[in-house]
Amino acid sequence: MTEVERGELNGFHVVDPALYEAHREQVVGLSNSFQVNRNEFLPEGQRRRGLSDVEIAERLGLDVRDVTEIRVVAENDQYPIEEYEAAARFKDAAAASYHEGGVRNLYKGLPPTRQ
Amino acid sequence: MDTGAGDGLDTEVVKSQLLGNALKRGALVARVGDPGLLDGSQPGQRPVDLLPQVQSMVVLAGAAPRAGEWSSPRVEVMETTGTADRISALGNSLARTIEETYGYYAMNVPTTTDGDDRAFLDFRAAAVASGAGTSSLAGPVLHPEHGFLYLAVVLTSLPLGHDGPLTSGVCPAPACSEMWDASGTTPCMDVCPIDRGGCIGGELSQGVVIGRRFDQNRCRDRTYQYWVPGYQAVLERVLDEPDAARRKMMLYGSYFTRTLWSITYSGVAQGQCFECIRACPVGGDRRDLQ
Amino acid sequence: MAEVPGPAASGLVDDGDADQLAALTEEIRRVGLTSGATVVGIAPTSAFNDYVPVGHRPEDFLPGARSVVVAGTPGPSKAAWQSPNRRLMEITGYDFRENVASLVMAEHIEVHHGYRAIQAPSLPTSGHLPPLSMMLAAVLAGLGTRSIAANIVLNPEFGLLYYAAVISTMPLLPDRQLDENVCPARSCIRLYEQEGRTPCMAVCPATEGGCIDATIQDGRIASSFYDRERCATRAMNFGIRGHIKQVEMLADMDDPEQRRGMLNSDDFRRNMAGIGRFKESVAQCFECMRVCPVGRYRRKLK
Repeated sequence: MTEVERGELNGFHVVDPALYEAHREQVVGLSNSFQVNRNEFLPEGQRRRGLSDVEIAERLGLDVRDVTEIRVVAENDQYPIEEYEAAARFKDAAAASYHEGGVRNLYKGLPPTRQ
Repeated sequence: MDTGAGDGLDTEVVKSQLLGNALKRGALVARVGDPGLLDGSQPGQRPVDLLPQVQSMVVLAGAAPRAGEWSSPRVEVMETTGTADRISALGNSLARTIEETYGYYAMNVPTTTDGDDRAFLDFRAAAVASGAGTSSLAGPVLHPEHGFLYLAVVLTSLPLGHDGPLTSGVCPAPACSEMWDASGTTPCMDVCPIDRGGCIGGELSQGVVIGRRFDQNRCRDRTYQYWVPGYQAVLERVLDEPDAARRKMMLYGSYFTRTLWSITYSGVAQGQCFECIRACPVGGDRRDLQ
Repeated sequence: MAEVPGPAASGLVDDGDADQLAALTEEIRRVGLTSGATVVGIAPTSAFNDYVPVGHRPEDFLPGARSVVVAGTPGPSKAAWQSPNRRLMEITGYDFRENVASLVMAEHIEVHHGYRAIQAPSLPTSGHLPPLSMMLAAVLAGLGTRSIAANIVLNPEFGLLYYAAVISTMPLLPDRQLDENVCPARSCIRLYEQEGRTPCMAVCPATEGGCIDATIQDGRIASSFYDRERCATRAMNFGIRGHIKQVEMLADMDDPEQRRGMLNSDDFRRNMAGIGRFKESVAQCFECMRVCPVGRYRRKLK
């Protein structure tokens, strides 16, 4: 197996911020960050999978190490720290709603998690 | 043999039961060493510094990586599926048994390090003292049959009969002596040569290691590549980096992220370099599976 | 314990007597079930090739691999599911019994049968990416199917399970992938027809700041969408990613008082605690599974 085929590489490689901004959306779109139609029962042709860093690099003509860094930075960069705070509020509301009224509560107008 | 404490215990029988139980529960080697043999260790790291009443060092060895793991071409396998925790758990269980069943003090010495990254006890010296193996050029203690094994050391005030050190060294193996005679190197030195960016160097004469050089810092950086030292190294670069965008690329990037994953799963992901032992022939025939 | 229907023995493996192979397979399965696994399934390594690229297939990690043995166990205890304090599930949800079962099976294979076996590497080694997908392994071993809810693999009897696996050169009789998709459940199809959303879609709708979306036609999943990165902000609320962001903020701060404030904040402490005890708190959001009907009846105790 060649070094490239070894898989996603993990040396200390710092991607150029400009390269990151230029290719971030493309790399994210081809990765596993947003998963569309992954179910194994979907017909072939409709079913999709995320691409490996090697596959993305080949498709976009980039160095695989840059692709790895762009992908990983983007994973961490997708949402700001405020989203983590919002996550706690969401879970509090969702759990409380379920304990109070079960699944029924989800269909009473706006889901309680949005209140 | 009587413990001398008037408790009616026959220490030979107790030793046989304790070690036999450990072997049944997953240890490959179970020996008892004389803690006095480590009195020359640094103050604070001697058995008597940890347990003043210590009479015996029970050394358990086992939980080696599997044949499949050694044969995998992907280093991520051994970097993330470590087995050392199993022998540590066995040490805890043994210590508990000694205290609860026999009423003597017993402690499973922690495998982690304390201040200045110092171990609580020299595990390798304890293993050598008990005859669980002998020192090697590469560093780890090697058992004559099993080769590299993970260690647990239980100090106890229970006076068990001591098994002495082995009378002959495991390293160098005959194949390594032959390789030295033919080409001036051994498998571990060849894969990680100290004079070419690696960690290990040495000299053999007539089948005996007569000199050893070892770059502990480089070995540490390889063994803990994605662990705390790797985390610290990236953080240092980050704090020295004046450009905010580049700092972000470092922090959000794969290397720093990986160090955190390894830290979260330290029990299985702390040890990350095994190349010297992968090349070592001792115990290698046990890796010859289908 | 769920019984997984096996395929016809002939034609699937090219080694040895089929009865003997079946007996050996059951032996390995029993080792796993008596070591802590709730379910054990076997997938042939070749099945992965249709779903994942080179570099993420069993043979990439163990040349000559023929079988992937998958162990699954429930996560949080049933009491934790019922607790009004949702944090209990998030901190004590993961006891690794499926990993223990995998280790025991791997050792059994090597010691008693002389074939190579490794625990499948599933810890993320490149960002969020594991070397081998345990979810796919579970599907191919017939232990469940991928659901609308975050693509979580649902076992038809137990619902949400956590999975670990063994990759081995030992030939074993593979189990059949499930013939029917577990998701959507009948009640979810009814709710979708009435309300336009299944419960998991209703509690965490991607169109309203959540993670999940899907369409159902004739009682089957017609399309699905899952925002893994938003899910990570919820399922890994305290841990690696939060810590990384806080370190970035610290590095950008010039005011030592401000830095001290962040370093001593409860959020910083909780992220560090999450990192230190991640094994117990690797999964920190269960809201889509809380409302999922599959396996829910099993959580009702006295």
